[in-house]
Amino acid sequence: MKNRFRWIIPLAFCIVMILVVFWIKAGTPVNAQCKEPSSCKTCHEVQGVLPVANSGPWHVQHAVFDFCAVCHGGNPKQNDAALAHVDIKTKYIDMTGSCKNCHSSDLDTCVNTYAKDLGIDAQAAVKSAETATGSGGNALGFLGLNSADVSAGQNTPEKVGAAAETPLQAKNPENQAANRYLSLLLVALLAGGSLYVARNEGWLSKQGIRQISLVRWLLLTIKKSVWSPYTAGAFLGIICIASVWLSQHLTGASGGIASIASTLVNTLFSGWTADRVYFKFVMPSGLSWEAFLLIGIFFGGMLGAFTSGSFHLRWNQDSQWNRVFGPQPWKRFVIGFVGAAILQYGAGIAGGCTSGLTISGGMLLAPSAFLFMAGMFLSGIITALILYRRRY
Amino acid sequence: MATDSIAAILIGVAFGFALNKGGLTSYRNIVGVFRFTNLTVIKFMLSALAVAMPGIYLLKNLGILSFPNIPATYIAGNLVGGLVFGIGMALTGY
Repeated sequence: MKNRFRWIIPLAFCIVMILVVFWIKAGTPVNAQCKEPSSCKTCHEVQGVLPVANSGPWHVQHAVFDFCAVCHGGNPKQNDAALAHVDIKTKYIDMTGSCKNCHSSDLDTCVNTYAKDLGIDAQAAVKSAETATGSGGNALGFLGLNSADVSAGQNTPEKVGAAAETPLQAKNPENQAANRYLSLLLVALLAGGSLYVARNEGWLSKQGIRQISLVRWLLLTIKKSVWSPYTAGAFLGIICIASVWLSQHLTGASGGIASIASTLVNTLFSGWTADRVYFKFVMPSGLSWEAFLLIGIFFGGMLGAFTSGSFHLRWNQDSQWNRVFGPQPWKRFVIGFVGAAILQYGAGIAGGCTSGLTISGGMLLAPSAFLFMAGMFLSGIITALILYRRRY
Repeated sequence: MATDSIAAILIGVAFGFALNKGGLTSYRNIVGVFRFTNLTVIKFMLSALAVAMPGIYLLKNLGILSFPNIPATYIAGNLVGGLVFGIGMALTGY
């Protein structure tokens, strides 16, 4: 009797998921990272407003990361087209200057290669740079287009601005109705889900309602040492939404560590980082929003332990760990350090971690989140198999 | 910027609190998910997704918030990163 209608929940979830996938096909920018991303790629590449990633070898070769602003300037943090294009360099202007940021040792080779591709003299390119600055500069040389394309009115900067200002969904009246239905579905899903959790947790039992007042119930919940993972997860989901709402950031933990490390490395070994793309541009020095989040996480975890009375200082005393690796604390430290370094390195490659990519990216339906999740579980299961061997 | 940092710390406190209460700070729960003996992590992560996903799309549709900027997916990078990440996660149990 109790289990008779359980299948409804996964089924409803699947249907809603499929509907949402069709709905977002309309062209919402979909992707995520722990690190602060640029608006350049969101509009130009993801939404396809004047995409350039495949035009010209200089774009192709630098498309691995969010490097647009390194050469072109502008404000990669602004979503508004007009604000983002302030001080933009549409033409490849300061050739030596831009390249020099990363390629200090092989500057001449780089400049000469691209100068040949662009069909201009490297020396002249440097000179023309000084004259052709400003947002009104034309995009011809840079985009590798001939003047006929532009005079046909296809890719002028004005057009780009106009296209970026109107959200893509607004153009399609069908989406208005679809949005309403989906909102209804989402409300139903939220209500149904929370009812299901509440019932499973026993909050709806007659005893639970009659005996405990709300305040007392809250206090008791806070004091509980381990919540049901469903409750804690739902709480985290609300936090993720709140962080987007309050400060337009995704909650990612690994980005904070990376930014702290980058700040340290950049101040201590500035000579070594001069040529390192990662430390200069992907994760530049300076404490990011995520670094502050990390401080909060530390105290939040402590608060959680204090409220449940489980706070005490200890070396490793997890019985399962001791059974597998032995009780010596140094093993825990060594394996913990090496493993965490591997973990952080992986997060650096993927551009996120479990919190920043899987949960925060997943809630925006970013494909990267699900790819990351698949990779994580695959290698995690294999590693656990190797570590535990027969005890698996 | 200052208010942003304060918001970050507050969100961090709530985040750490949720992780602690969900049992995500213990070794056995994290490794358990890779051994299929303890599925706390899956339950936690997916219920967070199930709340956040409809919630954020709903709020966006109502016009209350706008999506943050998000960079494009790098298929190889995300997969390889995930593979490396999984090794570290199963080793440390963090």
